[in-house]
Amino acid sequence: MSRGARVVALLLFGAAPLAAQHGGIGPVLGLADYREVSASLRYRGIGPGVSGSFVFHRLSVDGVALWLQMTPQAGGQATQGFRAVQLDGWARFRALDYLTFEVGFTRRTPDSAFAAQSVGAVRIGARTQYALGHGAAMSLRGDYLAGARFSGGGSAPLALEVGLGLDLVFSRHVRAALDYSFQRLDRKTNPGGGPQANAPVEQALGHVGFTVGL
Amino acid sequence: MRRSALVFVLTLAVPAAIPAQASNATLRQALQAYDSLDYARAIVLARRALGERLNGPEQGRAYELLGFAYAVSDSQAKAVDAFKQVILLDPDHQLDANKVSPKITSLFYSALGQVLVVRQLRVDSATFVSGQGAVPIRFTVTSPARVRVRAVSGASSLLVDSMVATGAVSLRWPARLPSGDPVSPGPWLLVVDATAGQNTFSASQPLRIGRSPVDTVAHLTSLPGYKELPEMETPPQSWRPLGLAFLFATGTAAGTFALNNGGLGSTPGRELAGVSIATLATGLVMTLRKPAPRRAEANILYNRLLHEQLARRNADIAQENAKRRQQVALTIVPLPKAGGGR
Repeated sequence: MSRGARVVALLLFGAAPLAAQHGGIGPVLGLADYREVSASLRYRGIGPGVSGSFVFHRLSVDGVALWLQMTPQAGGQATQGFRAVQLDGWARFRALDYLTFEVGFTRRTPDSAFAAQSVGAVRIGARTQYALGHGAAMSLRGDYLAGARFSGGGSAPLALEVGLGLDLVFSRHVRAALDYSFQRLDRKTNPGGGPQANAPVEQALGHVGFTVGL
Repeated sequence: MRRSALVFVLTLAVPAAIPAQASNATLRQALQAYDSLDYARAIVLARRALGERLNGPEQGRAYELLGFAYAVSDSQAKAVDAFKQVILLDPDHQLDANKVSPKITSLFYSALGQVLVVRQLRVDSATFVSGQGAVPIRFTVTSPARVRVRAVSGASSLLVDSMVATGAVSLRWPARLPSGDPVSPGPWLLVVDATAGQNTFSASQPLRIGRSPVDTVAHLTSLPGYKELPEMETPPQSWRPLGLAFLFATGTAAGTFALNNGGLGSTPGRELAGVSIATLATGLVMTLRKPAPRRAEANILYNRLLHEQLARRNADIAQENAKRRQQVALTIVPLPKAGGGR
């Protein structure tokens, strides 16, 4: 680390009281429902992952990585499952007690390019949170998924996400988090230079996990 | 008014003013002669008594009897001379204006104006912090004179005031040395010297001066009328957590249903249901659970202001006490006089 970076890090983290900064990392279990193009191309998945978070005063950074095993649903056209790596990240600024602005990214990469689209987008949105009681808080968020890119080409001018989160604090060092998000990406593509075709993508993702605080 | 009527009025007025008791036989006979309205005999006997061995009060009584008898006999100059002797023997002597005729009273005051005495020297009892108070002194000078008021204790003599005065005089003595320190405790004598030409007169009043430390003020542990408020408050139990959990869950569900593309089949519910149920369950638990006490920010601010005010008051008290520890309270008490003036 350069000297300048160390000075900045010291100013950012060293000067803050311990109560104002905390972080954690821990395992998560994810559940997913993925659909693409039509109702017959539908997968359900489950898989482990890891999540981490760091809070510094009004700023926070969260990230989740999931390794999902997607399985085609019965009665659909898909015959083979695939594995996907789901990466989500958020950088948040708590403007008010009940309102937080956030930016971030989402990236889903299947191991087979033929099984599903690889997607990447930038999140821009806001979150409202409410403390249910001592050690419990919930949040409702909405994001626009900007600049969505797909491995098969095309774009998604309408790409939105809603989410519900629940944070439970068991002790100073142990927390639990449940999170749900639903993404809709209205992908449009023109394969082979032909007429534009709709190839919508949807994913419902839920995960539950524990973090051990630092 | 006819002469006989005037004599009758004066005679009626006099006897009550002069007590008939006297240890000297001649003086007693003179008083009886006066009571019998035999003023000529009263004058003769009174003058004879003055030639005999009389104590101070009897001398005063004999001169007073002479003054009264001369006044009734229209010998005003002699009456004034007799009253002058009365005043010199007892400077504080007073005639009761309710019992003595105005003519005699006016002759008495005429005599007062012709002698130099300091009358009715009074010193009030006083207790005060040295430098913050004074003891009141009052006296009357019967004719214009240079007056010096001194406080004397042992070898030390302090000048209280010096002035040319006549009539009633009021002074205030701070009981401090020229250096500003309080006077030493013990017996003191307040002396008033009046000088007019060759005439001098001194009156004095003994005093006892006591010194004591000034009481300090106790520090405050609370401000009267203001009580500290609890800094943690338990909010009342309410259905708000469950209601909001329901609102958030249904809001997310509504968003999901709204965003769902119908062409991709029905809305996926497994993940949504899982997190929503967990949220609602948490809301229910939080609703049923006794709310945890939380910080009452307004009370904390109030208490902080209270503590600041208390600290400020105690700092003032400490400052005041530091000052008071260097102060001395003086108690001045006048003592009974041993004798009159000279």
